[in-house]
Amino acid sequence: MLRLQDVNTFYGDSHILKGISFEVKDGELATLLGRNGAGKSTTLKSIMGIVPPKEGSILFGNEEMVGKRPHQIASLGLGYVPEERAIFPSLSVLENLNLPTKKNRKRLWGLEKIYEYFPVLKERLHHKGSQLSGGEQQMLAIARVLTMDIKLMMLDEPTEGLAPFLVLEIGKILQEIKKSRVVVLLVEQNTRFAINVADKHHIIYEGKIAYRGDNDDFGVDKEIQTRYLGV
Amino acid sequence: MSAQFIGMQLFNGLILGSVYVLLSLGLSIIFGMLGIINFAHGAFYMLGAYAAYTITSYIFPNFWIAFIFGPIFMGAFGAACEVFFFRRLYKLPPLYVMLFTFGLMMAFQDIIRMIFGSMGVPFNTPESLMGAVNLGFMYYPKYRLFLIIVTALCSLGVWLFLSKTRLGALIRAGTDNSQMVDALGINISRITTLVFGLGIGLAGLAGVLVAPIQNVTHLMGMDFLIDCFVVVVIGGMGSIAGSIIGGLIVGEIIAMGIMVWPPIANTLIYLFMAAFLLVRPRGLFGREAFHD
Amino acid sequence: MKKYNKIFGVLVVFLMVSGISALIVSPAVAADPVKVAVLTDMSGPYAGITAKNVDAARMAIEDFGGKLLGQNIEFVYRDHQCKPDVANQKAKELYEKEKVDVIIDCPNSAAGLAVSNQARIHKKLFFPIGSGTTRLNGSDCHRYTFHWGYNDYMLATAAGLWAADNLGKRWYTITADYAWGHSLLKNFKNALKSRGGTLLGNDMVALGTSDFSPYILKAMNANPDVLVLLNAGKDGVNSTKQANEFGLKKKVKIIHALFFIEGIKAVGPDVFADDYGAAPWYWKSQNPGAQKFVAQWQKKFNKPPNWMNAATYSAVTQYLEAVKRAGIKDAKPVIEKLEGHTFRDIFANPGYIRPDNHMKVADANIIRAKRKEEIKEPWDFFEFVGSVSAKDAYEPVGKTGCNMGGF
Repeated sequence: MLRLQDVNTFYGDSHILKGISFEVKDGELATLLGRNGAGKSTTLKSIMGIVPPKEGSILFGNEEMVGKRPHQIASLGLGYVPEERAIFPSLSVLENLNLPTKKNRKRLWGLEKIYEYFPVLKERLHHKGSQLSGGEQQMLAIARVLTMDIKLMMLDEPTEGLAPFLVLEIGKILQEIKKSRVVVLLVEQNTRFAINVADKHHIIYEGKIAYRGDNDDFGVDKEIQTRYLGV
Repeated sequence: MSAQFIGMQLFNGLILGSVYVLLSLGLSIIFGMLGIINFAHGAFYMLGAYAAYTITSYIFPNFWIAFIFGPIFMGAFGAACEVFFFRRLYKLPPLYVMLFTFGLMMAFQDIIRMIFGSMGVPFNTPESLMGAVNLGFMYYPKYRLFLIIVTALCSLGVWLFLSKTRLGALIRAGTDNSQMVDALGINISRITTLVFGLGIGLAGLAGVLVAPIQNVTHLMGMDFLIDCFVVVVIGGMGSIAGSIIGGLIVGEIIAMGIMVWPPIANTLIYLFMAAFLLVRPRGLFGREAFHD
Repeated sequence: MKKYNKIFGVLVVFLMVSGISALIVSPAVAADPVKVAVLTDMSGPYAGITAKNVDAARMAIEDFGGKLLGQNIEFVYRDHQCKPDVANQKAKELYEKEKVDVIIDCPNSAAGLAVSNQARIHKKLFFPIGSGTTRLNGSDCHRYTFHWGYNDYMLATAAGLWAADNLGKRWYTITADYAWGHSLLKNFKNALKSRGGTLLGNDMVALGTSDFSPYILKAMNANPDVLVLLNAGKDGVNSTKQANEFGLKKKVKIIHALFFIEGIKAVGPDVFADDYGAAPWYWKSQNPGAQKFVAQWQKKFNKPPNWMNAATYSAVTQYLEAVKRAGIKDAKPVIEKLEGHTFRDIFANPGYIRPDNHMKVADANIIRAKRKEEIKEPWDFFEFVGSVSAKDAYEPVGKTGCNMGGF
């Protein structure tokens, strides 16, 4: 589904991704873990074309993503929920949901299903984005991407700053997304949450993939967790 | 000073402000979405007046044809400028873009001066809008009433377009966070072209509208431009409501200033702007985000 | 052999002496030709009005016969772009490097004062035309500068006196808020006062104001007979267009400070229709030679000359005449021939060069802009409606503030 090969990305002069390679397969819910500044968010932005890599290859299906503009990448079926959620504050909740182009009017999740899983959004449909709480913003950011016809969804620390019951809520939604045959690539700081939801983990350390493993192995490997994540 | 006279001046100030409204709307929309402080806006407005002159003098001698096609032509011209010039500049620091728009202003003015001369061209009020209407408290020129009606309709139209249509929502989203619009699979560059064309079209419309009541010269945009920046600062950068309210406020300040003590009239709007910058730098309706 | 040497030596000495004397004598026999320069705005804001002053000067030299003191008259011109610093630099160059004897024209009062100062330094002549400041024949006057054409006092006083006598004594004024506007206002006020009129109100308006409607409303509210617009160019057109719009002209006559045929041509006759102003000259003038000059000009440029063109032609002609009378081109004798001289030409009939302040004076014309339907001939935008005598139109002797001084 998604294969990164030797991706090198720079912010100005600073070399952030120093040859990242990993693969996410169909049906997987995979994570990118690592300490602050390791390059997790940059990896997502490189895939999206927001911070285009200087070298390397990113294959989505059989298509090369490097060199494409973000809107082209998105319309191939990549959904992106950034860390800052990026809700449009001057648009209402409904406008936020309706904004992405619906290819062939086909929605992965219809509005009915969205209201079912995100009841809070239905209540606040005509409120402006700027009036939402952090949790509501996170819900909206995820729901907004689900209205697109996506095959892969990338989330950047969706649980950050959320109350524990909301974290649980997000976990449930991720499982539901997985059920609709969408591949999920999750960037997380919350290792416990990652272990609870994911099938597979990658750890980025100093711009490289330092570890990859199944949830069953990683979940019990305290040594790895301590070494790279300081758990 | 009679109450009637004060009423006349207040009413006139409203109409004075309506030209500011049209110009600042375009300036503000372009700034809001593209982050460009467009010094050439006054020059586009001037070009609008010359487009109207060219249409009525050389193509079809009818004001209404110019009124319809002048702004459309200017909108298309603005869109072309976006595609050929401005698009290449978005990645540069804002100062470069500002300098570029400044150069563009000079170039447009000089081209017009070379073609049409420095003394201006004739433009008369259309026959059907000549004369005055009795408003009860005063006789007021028909044309100026027409002007305020067009401005009101345009402001309403722009507001409806931006707040009620999907394209309007895309423009607002682009103003909020154009990168995220891009990441949601929408080709933002088409929207920026549209926004630029819309802003310049509004400037062109303002140019067509003032041609009958002002001297159509290559320099006519210069004086208005500075006042429009005052409007945008007072109303708030990138805000539609801000442009409308700000424009009307500036019109009224000028009208009242002139009534009370003319030498202060112009200074007054700058003082007002300075006060706003000190107390509420984002203006009446501006968003905090622009001032991070 | 020795004898031959002696003869040869004498021959050499003879040749040397005659050669040296020839070198010494030659300048006296064949002096430098008279050299005339026009320094004007050819690419700045007034270019549309003043650029052809170059052609006017050329025509004056041709009509004079092209020769003076036995040599061809030379001619150069420079563009000062309406910038005082450029004017100053170009004037310096013209006097020093080009060795011109006289500089003609120079619109923009600050530029005119700068060139006048260069004339004083270089002890060469200067005939300002396009700069109207009274300082040129007042506080800043000197022997080398002759103010031709007009000055701001005359524009205001002539129009003011005539308007007070013929249009009404209740005035409202709208004044461009800078030195020129202020000086005009002072003189208009004095003219009105001398005729016992009332100034109902005045507004000082910043340069570059685009909407005058609040001022127009104020003026209409005061209900005057006459509205005096002391502004020019863009501001003049804006204020007049907007006065028309509010129907002010139905009850009130408008006086302008300055009128040009090119201005009417540019914005169309409707804007200024039925407005009045003072003018030193108009192309329908019946002065001696005027119609011949106009015909020649029409043929060449397919439009009539404006009054600055005519003034340039006149200034060049009168300068050349003075050199001819003096029989030498040195500044002092030429100036002495000009001072107090009376002449009749295309521009002034008669014209008199006042010795007290070097102002060329003549009767001032009052003109009215025709309505569209009255215009029968292209460019015939004005009608003569009256005149004001030179004595009344210019500052009285002793009141100019000029202290002429020596050479």
